[in-house]
Amino acid sequence: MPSVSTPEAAAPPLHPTPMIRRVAWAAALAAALGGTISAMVSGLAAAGAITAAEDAALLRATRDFADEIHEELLEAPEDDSPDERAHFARHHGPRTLQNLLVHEAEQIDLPGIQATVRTPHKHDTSPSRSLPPPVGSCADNASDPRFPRRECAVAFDAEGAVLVLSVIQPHRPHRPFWFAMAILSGTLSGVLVGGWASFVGARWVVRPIDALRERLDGIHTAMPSVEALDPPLPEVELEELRLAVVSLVARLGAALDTARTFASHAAHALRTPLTSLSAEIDLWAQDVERPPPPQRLRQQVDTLIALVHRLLALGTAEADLASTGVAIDLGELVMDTVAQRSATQRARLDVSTQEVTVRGDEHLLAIMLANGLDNALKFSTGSVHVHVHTDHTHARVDVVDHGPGLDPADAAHVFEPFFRSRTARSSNTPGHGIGLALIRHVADAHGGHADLERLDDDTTRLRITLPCWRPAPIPSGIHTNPETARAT
Amino acid sequence: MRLLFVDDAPEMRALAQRAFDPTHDTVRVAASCAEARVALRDELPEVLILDVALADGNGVVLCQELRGRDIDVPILLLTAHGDVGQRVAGLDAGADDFLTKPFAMAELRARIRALARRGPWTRPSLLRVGDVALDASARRAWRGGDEVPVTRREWAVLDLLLARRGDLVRREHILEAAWGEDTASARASLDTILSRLRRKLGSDVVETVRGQGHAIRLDP
Repeated sequence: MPSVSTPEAAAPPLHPTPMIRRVAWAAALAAALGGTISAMVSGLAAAGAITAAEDAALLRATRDFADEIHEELLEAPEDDSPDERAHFARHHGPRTLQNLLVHEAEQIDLPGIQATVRTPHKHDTSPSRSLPPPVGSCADNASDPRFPRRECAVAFDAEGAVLVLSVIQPHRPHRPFWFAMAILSGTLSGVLVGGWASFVGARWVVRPIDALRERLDGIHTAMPSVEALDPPLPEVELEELRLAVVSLVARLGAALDTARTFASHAAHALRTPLTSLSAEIDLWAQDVERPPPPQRLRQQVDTLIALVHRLLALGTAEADLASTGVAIDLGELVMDTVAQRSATQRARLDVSTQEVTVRGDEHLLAIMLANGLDNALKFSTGSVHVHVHTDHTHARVDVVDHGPGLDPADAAHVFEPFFRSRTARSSNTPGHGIGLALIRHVADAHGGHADLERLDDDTTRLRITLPCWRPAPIPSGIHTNPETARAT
Repeated sequence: MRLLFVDDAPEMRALAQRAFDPTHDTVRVAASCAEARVALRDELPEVLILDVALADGNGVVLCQELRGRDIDVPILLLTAHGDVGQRVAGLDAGADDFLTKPFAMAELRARIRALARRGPWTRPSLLRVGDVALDASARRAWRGGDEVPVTRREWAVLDLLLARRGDLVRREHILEAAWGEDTASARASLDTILSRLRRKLGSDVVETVRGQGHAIRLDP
C-alpha cells in the first residue's frame, strides 16, 4: 500500500478549541465584571438609602424628644396629676433636667436609647466627653465597641446647648461584611448564570455554522455538486459564505468534469487501435512461419489495455446500480478475478469466499476487484489475504496485505484520482494513481463504499462494502403472481 | 461458421477478416447499420457481431429492430466499460452477450463459438414454470411473486434449457456451450449451479435424467 511523508506531516500539531468555548469564556468574564459593578453600585446605593432613612427617623425622634422636654420644663409640677408626680418621685427622684430626660427616654421604644443635653458651659448632662454631632445631623459613636451607637443632635436652647439622642444599632458594624458578600455573590452569579447563558447562546449562534459545515460534508469529492449546499441561509454573513463556496464547488466540479471527459474521450479513442494492436500481436503469435513476437510487446500492450479499461470505468457516470443492476455472486466473481491473475500472483493469494449475491454491473465490479487485488499485490511482497463475507445486509470483500503500510498522512488522499504517494513514485512502483479511485467510484455507484485501513505498522486492509441483493420494484406490466396472471 | 462483423473502424473490419480461418469460417463485414441491413437481407449469419457506436446509428437500436423483425441469430454486442446503461439496454433489446473494447482475439473467438453452439433463439420476454416467472431478456426471475437473484452463470444454464423448451439437453452440450470445456471442474460447477437453481426456483423446476442430461419443466 502507498506510504509517504508529506510536508504537512512535519507541521506542529494544532489543538483546535471550539469557538463556543471562546465565546462562552468571553461572555462569562463580561458577565462577572458587570455583576461586580452592578452589585457594588446597588449595594452602595442601598446602604446609603438605609442609613439616610434611619438617620431621618432618628433625627425626627430627636426633635420630637426636644419639644417634649421643652414642654415639660415650661410646665409647673402642679400641671401633672398627683399620681404622676408620685410615680416620677418614686422612680426618678427630684424633677431635674437629667431625670426628665431619663423619664422621657423610657417612653420611647428604641434599643439602648439615651438622651443627653450637651453644652460646654452650662448644664451638660452627658457622661462622655466626646463632641456631639453638628446640629441637625447624625454620626456614629464608637466609644463602646460592644454597643455601637448612632446619635443625632438638635438645638436645645438659645445658648447653644444641643440635645443628643443616641440609640444602639447592633447590625451596623456588619454592614461592610454583608456589602462584600453582596459583591461576591453578584460576581459569582454573574459568572455562573452569564457563563451558562452565553454557552447556550453561543451554541445557538454557532448552530447555523454547524449546519453549513454539515452541508459541506455532504459534498462528494469525486462528484462535487452544489445541490448539497441548497437552500439559501437566512443569516446574511453565512449566506455570503455559502454563495462563495457554491461558486468554488461549481468551478471545481466543472474542472473535474473537463478532466474526466478528457480522460474518457482519450480512452474511447484508444479502444479500437488498442484492440487492433492486441489482435495483430495475437495473429503474429499464431503465425508459425515468423519468429514469435517479443514477450515485452505483449506485456506493454496488456498494461495499456488495462489502463484504458480503468479510465473508461472511472469515466462512468454515477448510477444507482444497486437497484438497476443484475444479480452477481460476489464470491464467484472474486474467484474468477483470482483465476485471471498470473501463476506467480495466484501463489501469493490466500482466498476464502462464500456465496453472497449483490446487484450491479458485472464488468465494473470485475474491474474493481481486479484493481483491489493488483494494488495489494503491487504494494506488498508477502501473501495477500482475500476474504469475502456477509452479515446478510452487506457484502464485504477484504483484501489484506503486508507491505510498507499506509501512511496516515496519505489516508485522506489515496482514493483521489491520479494521487500517487511519494514512496510509490520514488520506488518506481508502476501505476497511474487510478486503482483506488476506481475502486471507490465503482463501490459508490453500487450504493456501497471502499475504505483503506491500517491494521498495524505493515498490515493494510482494503474493505469494499456493497449492499446485499434486494428485490427491485416489479416493472409495470409484468404479472409475477401466477394467480393474477391466470386471471388476466 | 458464418459471421457478420459490423464495425465502423476499417482496421477492426480488416482484422475480423484475418482473425478467422478462411477454410472453416466465412466473415462478412459491414461498416454501418445500412450496410448491415443489406448484408442480413442476403443471408443470415450464424453469429452477428455488432459494435454499439456506428456512424449512422446505434447498435442497440439495430439489435432491437432485428428482434422486432423476428431475426433470431445470436448477437454479440461490442461495448465500452463506461456504457453501463448501454449494456442494460442491449439486454433489453435482445442481445445475447457483450464484449468490451479493447478485447483479446482469443476472447472474441471463444464468445462467438459459444453463441454459435447455442444456435438461434430469441429470449422469450416472460416464461412461467409453476409459480416461477422468468424474464430472460431482462435477466430477472420471480418465485411466488417475490424476486429471486439469478446470476449470469445461472442464466447461461437456464438459457440453454429454455432454448430447448422442455426437451432434454445433454450435459456435454451444456458444458461445451457454457464452459467451453468438459472437465471435472466444469462438471462440478454445473452441479453447483443446478443445485442453486433448484434452491432459488424450486426443486422441481429443473429435471435431471441420470447420466443423460437436464430439462426445464415448462407449463403446458
